[in-house]
Amino acid sequence: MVSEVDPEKADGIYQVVSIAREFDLMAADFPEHEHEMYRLLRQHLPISCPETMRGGGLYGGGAGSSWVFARYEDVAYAFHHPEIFSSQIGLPFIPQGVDPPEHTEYRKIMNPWFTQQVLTPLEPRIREFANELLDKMLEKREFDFVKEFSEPFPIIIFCQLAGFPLEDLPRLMRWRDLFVHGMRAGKAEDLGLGIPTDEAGHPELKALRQVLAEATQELYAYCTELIEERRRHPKEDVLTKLVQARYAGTRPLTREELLQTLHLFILGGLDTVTGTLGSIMVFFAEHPDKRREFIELMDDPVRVSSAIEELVRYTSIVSPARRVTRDYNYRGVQLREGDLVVLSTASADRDENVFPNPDEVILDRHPNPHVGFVVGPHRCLGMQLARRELGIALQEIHRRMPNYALKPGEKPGVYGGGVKGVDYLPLVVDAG
Amino acid sequence: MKVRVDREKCQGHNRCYMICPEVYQVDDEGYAYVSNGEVPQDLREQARRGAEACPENAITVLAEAGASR
Repeated sequence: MVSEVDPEKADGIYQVVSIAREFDLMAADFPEHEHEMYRLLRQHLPISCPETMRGGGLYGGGAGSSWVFARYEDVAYAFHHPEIFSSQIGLPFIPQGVDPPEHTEYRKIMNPWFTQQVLTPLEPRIREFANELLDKMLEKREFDFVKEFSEPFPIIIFCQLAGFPLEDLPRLMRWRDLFVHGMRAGKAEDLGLGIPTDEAGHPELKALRQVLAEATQELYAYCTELIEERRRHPKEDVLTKLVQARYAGTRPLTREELLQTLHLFILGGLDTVTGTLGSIMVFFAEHPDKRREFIELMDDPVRVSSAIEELVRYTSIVSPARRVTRDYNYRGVQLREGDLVVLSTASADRDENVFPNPDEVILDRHPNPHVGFVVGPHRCLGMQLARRELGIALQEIHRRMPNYALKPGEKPGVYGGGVKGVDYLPLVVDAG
Repeated sequence: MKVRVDREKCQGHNRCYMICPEVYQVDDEGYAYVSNGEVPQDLREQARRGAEACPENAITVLAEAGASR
């Protein structure tokens, strides 16, 4: 006997049909449904080809289809095989937008700048920065955590380490906003770009690309000045090291190489810790039991490091894209040369086949082979710095303000996209 | 018990180092290595956990015959 169809009742294997068609990382309501969508995709359609992302969608540059990989094993495979899943997309960032073997040479130059040995001596300074921001923030009982802490904190450290003058912060932030957030619905208006948008507030792509091209020229002019300055007066900073670096031990970096590297440093250094820290604080504000657990363990550095890994897994904010280098049949899916593949770390890191109870934060989770910092040759260059920043920030925040909550009646400004984050987080601290 | 880091696979996540710095070290480029593959009895559990934490599967644990966990 055939059972009665109930058209009103959602059923995962049917729902996934419309999810696959309408999947849109940039949609304003994407973060609300993200993990439910990814769960269904992992289960029923681990590789999907959303209509919304035809022609490259937000990542641009692709004429063909865009695919979304949702399972851990597929995301990790693509990260590990740059010869098929290339990082050469859109803007020529170094080292992110370059594949091995050139990529390997760039990384050889830069890897030593962000090692444990280099970063350990910086810890006291990072802790000081955190406390200076907390001193100011805690003069009030209510504040926007993003504006007061998660935004300025990594930027101050970045400027210090890289050698960018702190007074140029507003300019750097403006560039970051354009490059990282320009695509987001409503941002073109917020940023006063004066370009056409659709009903949902998405900017017209051609106009946005024009704005970004102009901003790139301004940024390059600014960086060129700094580079010349360091050639004349070397200092102890990343800018100087970049100027003095030798590619494959043979030649200095060209002007283009220097600029493309600095461009990426600004995006990576200014935005990712902000997004991750904001996302973690939203979680802790909404889960006081987990916050207390963290406070219990936060004096033990080994346990803090496991907790950070778990919080990075849980929040996994990046969904990088790769370009398919040749027609390639991946597990029976025919990919075409030039197709784009979106590798969602958010979905991979909630894969129930790798992480038991994936939607739960287990601060001492082990093993925890998450891909929140990406794996393979393009793993995050600044990950050791990011971990220290996150660890120190969370320790100092919870030492100084163990009791806090979301401001009643308000919601955090959580946004989706290729790099997710939080741009508004109103908190109230307990006076007691 | 011995541990071995596959230097081709290591991408410098340093998770092994964070869990068991007594066994895993990090070179000037951020990649892991072990200077003495033989793991002392009292560090075996930690060394094993360090190996399991590697997201690149770059660390192999070689148990010796008769070695206890």
